[in-house]
Amino acid sequence: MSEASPLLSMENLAKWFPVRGGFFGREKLHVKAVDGVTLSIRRGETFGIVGESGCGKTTLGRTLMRLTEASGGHILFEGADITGLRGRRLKPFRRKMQMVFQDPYASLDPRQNIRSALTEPMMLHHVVSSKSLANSFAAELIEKVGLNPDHLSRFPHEFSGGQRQRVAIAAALAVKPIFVVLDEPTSSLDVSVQAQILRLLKNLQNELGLTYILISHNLAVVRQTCDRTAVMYLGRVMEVAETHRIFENPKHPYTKALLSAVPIPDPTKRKSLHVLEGDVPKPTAIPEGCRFRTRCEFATAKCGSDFPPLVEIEPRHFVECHYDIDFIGKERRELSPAQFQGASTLPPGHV
Amino acid sequence: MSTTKGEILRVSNLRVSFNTYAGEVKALDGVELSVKKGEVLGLVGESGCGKSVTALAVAGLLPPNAIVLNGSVQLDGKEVLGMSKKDLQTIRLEEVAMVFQDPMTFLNPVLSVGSQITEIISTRPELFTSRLINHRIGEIERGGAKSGPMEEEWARLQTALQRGKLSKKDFDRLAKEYTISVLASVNLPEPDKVFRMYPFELSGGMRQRAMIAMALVRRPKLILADEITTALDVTVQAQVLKLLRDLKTEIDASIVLITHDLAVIAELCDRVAVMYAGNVVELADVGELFSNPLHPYTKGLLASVPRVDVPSASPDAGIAGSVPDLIRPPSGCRFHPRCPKAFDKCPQVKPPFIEVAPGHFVACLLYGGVP
Amino acid sequence: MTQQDRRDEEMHGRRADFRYALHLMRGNKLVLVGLVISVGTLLLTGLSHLLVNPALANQQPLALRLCWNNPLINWGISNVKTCPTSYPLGTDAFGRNLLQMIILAIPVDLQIAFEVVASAVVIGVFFGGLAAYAGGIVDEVILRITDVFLAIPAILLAIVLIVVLGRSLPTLTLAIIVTWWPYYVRLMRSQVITEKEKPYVERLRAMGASSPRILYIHIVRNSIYPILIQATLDIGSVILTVSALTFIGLTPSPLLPELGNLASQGIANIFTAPWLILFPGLTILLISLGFNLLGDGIRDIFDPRLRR
Repeated sequence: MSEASPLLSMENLAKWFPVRGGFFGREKLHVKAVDGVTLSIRRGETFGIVGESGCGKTTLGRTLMRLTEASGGHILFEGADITGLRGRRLKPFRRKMQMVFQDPYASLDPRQNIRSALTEPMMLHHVVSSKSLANSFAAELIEKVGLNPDHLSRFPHEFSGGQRQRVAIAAALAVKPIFVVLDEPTSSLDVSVQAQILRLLKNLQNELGLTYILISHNLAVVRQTCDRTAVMYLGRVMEVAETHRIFENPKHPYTKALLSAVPIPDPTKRKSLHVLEGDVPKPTAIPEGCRFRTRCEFATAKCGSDFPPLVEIEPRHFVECHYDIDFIGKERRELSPAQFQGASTLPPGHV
Repeated sequence: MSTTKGEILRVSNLRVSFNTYAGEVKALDGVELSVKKGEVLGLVGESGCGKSVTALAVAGLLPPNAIVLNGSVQLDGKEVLGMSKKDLQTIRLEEVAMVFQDPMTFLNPVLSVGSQITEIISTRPELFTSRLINHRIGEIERGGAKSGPMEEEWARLQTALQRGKLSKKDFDRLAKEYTISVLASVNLPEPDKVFRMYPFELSGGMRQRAMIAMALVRRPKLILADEITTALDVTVQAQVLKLLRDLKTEIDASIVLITHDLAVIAELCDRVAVMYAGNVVELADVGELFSNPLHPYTKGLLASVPRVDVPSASPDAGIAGSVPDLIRPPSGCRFHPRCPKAFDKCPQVKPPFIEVAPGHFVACLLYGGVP
Repeated sequence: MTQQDRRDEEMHGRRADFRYALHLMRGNKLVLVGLVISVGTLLLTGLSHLLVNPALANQQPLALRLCWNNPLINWGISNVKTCPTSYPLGTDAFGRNLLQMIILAIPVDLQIAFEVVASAVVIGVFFGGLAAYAGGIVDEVILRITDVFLAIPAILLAIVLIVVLGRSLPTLTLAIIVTWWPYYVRLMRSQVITEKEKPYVERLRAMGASSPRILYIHIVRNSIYPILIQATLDIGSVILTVSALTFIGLTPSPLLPELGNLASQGIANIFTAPWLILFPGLTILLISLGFNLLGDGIRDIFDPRLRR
């Protein structure tokens, strides 16, 4: 694969939310929702971000979309730093990057009919030059997502969840973006509808040359749709690689724990369900050193004292861990510094 | 139709409608279901299929605008439909326990977890007295303290057991200890601390386990678990699933596990009932259902479920169309508008629920029932 | 798509809302009463100049003042003056036909009420929405200004304003507007605060829509109902306020046909001409009640629907 420049990249991206803590409200704690994420997304790929609740994946999506200000780090879109851009300077980028949200029941203005929901973004970004062209493009879009142009005069509450999600996808495509963040696009939908929507997204990607980030807690969906996957925990990426490597040969203990916890719809493949003990630490009090060590069965003293390095443990397969772990034999092997990728991925504020 | 020997629950031809301003929602259209003693039955279906409504009907918790058109719900030989309020309360206390999806809404936020459970025990002291005493006696005996410091207590409890009465002080103390032991049995760490905690202090998984404890305290014969893992993270869900699997062997209650997640069904259940738009369309042993699904809906559903151990989706994934409007449901077989195998009789005749192979039931005209 | 299907689809659309509203209204008798009174009042307003010559308000046939000639009601007072002809509601202190004066007064009061309420809604929507959406210092400033106005007793403020600005219908209206807007700012602000957290707002931001657009086109459209309901309820309250102010003498002219004005004449003559305070007072009561019931009913209709 040629190393073309990435479409979107983020460097040590962070989003911290201040929380008033302490007795006099002076001691400022922070919810470190995103705590230093460095990734690059290639043109045309579907990049998956998985993790459980509180891992920061949704906040990451919102920060990338500039719906919220980053607390640190950079976002580069087609090489341009968009981290600090606002208003008019940001608008051209808004056209190129769009988002589809999780809840189809709430992501459309209930008092706006579908035609208006589709033509509004077109007019806003001057995608078309006249209202009539906007209307015909809207009709084209609505058919592309599998709905009938008759539906354009209707309102969101007249549609089912799956149909509303199709409308939301059409609305995102109305500005002819090149990049779409899909935040749990099928989590609120029935399984039979989910498959339809995922297939639609795939077809649209092929037809329009889109690049996707798919954010999901559903590992099976990510497995079946994404080219590369990153696993997040407590605000950082623990492991990132091509999807089949992550699922067939995970190297981070958290990834391994996640995969062993996912049940399989096949009664002949019942699992021993190796249970990950303990609870997720509070994002205001992230453990020192490796943040996963409080629940990791392979943790050592080093994991508490030293921040784990980023290691390319095999070609294009990165892990943030001190050790190379053999899950079957339950052995850990120290990694040589030659494999380290350097300290640039330390979380912000880390000494 | 009454429960046969070995069955704890039998639902026959249950038809329930809801009166809403928009019209009559025909939620259940002749549901047929049975649960054997000690088994875990999975009740699976997508939105609007009626699985929660069925559970509510069994627990006698249907809302006021529900009308039971006909059918019967036999719980261990007793007919639940039409029972008096008082009898229903007794049933819910002794025989059927329901665990819901969102513990945050179903637990009282201003009471500690422990007090909510002891409240259950205190509602009917006569029901629990002997159980509490026996539990404590068992504890003492296991501690090998039958003679020694506990001897006095042991003797006192024995007399109380014979008289069938406990002093209030003893009752409260034993209730608390029993509750703590139940909290421990659901794998809650530091159960005595959890006893004093409030729901908001617990994590999602712990709250769900507390709700399960609340159900177990009553030693019900049947537990209805409605989407209890749906709102949980994968690792927390695994904890709860493991708990349920362990409990399966320890308690002799039957469980009806209601969920839309076929993977959870595959992990835990002995038999599975698939529901669509108010009907049970297929019922079989779990292995049989997954390896040999008969109903087109079941087949479509199984093809649509993404699997973490398979790199890409099946080309058959997805079922065209969407769940029907239950105010004006399709005629005949409610699935026919979406069914790839539908033929001319399907809109005309409602398929009967028939046994096609031993223990394998289907409601589909492809397998019989065409007049 | 069959006919049945089309009807089904319609059921879920706007028409269903209207049908549902009617259905609920049928069940709630008081709302119907309110509706009847409000509609009746509005009709009367429209027809008032056709029914009664406005010039009659300026006449002062003093010879006929404070007389009563309606056989249906006997006041039981000894010295009631009898009018030569039959006046259904007697005459006022200037000798004018009270019934005619009341018919002329209703539009005056209603016009002020609608102007006040409409202005309050506009101000409330603009500033309340701005405060909630912008947040930060803008919110603080607007809130504090609102607080100041809320802290000052309304009637007092109105009185001071009228005294300072002079007595006329416009100043009367303005004085009430000044005391009325703060509540609407608060109300709109709380609505927008909830609404702006909703996912569709995020989607609009991601789309690149500007803040004013999101706020004043999308959010307002979704949060205006409670404001409109409050406005309907307030029509009655404003009429009461206007009447109170004119009652204590802050009227542009004693001859102005206005319900409070008419009632104030009645106080001085309460023992000799009780109809003069009774009928204007009853009219105030009825109109307030009518709009109140209507507003209540609309609120009841919208509330359960939101819970649907």
